[in-house]
Amino acid sequence: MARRSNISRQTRLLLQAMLEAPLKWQHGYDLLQQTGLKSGTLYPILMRLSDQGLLEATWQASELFGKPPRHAYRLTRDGCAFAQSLEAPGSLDFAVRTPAKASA
Amino acid sequence: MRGWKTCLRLVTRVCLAHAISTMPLSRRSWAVAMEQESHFIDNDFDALGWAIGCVFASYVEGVREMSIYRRTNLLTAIIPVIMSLLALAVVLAVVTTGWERHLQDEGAAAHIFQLLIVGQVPFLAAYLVTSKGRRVLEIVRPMAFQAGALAIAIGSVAFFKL
Repeated sequence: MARRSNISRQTRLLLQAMLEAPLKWQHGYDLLQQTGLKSGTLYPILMRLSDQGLLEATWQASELFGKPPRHAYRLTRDGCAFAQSLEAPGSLDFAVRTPAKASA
Repeated sequence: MRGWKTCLRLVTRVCLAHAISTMPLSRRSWAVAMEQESHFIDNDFDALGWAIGCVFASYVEGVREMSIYRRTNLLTAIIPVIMSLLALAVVLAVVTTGWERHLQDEGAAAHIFQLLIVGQVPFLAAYLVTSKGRRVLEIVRPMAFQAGALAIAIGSVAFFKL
């Protein structure tokens, strides 16, 4: 497994978004809309998470006629555990930025 | 309006093709994924923004995959161009603001200009050293940019008779 680097705010944002539906395969553009990240930030993070075994990716045939297959992503078991550990109270400043989740 | 939209989509496609070609081979499937995803973005401006981001991502990955040696080579190719442009900016500042034009002898502006020009020498040397083993054309191309930027900076001094 590759080295885990420091977790950026953007990575936390992405992990948080993916943790909301951990079993659901999500697409790049949907994640971009959920997180507000730019594609130039989002994809390098997805690549890193995939390298670290926190994310799995697969090609899915499009449901829309004439559209190409899409790459879909979801957290692995390790990814879910890692994202949850970041969300845990006292884990850096994550709880400060997500008061609703922190108080739940 | 339709022509404008077509133009935006064309630029988007060109950017995405560029992102695929510049993405390191080990990451190529990710670039293809980005390109495929763009087909699901309805808004043309959003699609263009997406494509520009993809180009940025491919550059980031390209630099990440480079060895320290190659990164140094890239950096030493770029820095002299930036220094020449800064020297040009100094010249333009002198011309537009009249900074130190009243001085009989060389002032701070002239010294900054000279330092920016002479300071390129170590970078050029480092560039040549780290270019070892590369094809001549690959080495010469960035040097042509460096020479062009240098010519513009020095030429501006002659042009404005400073």
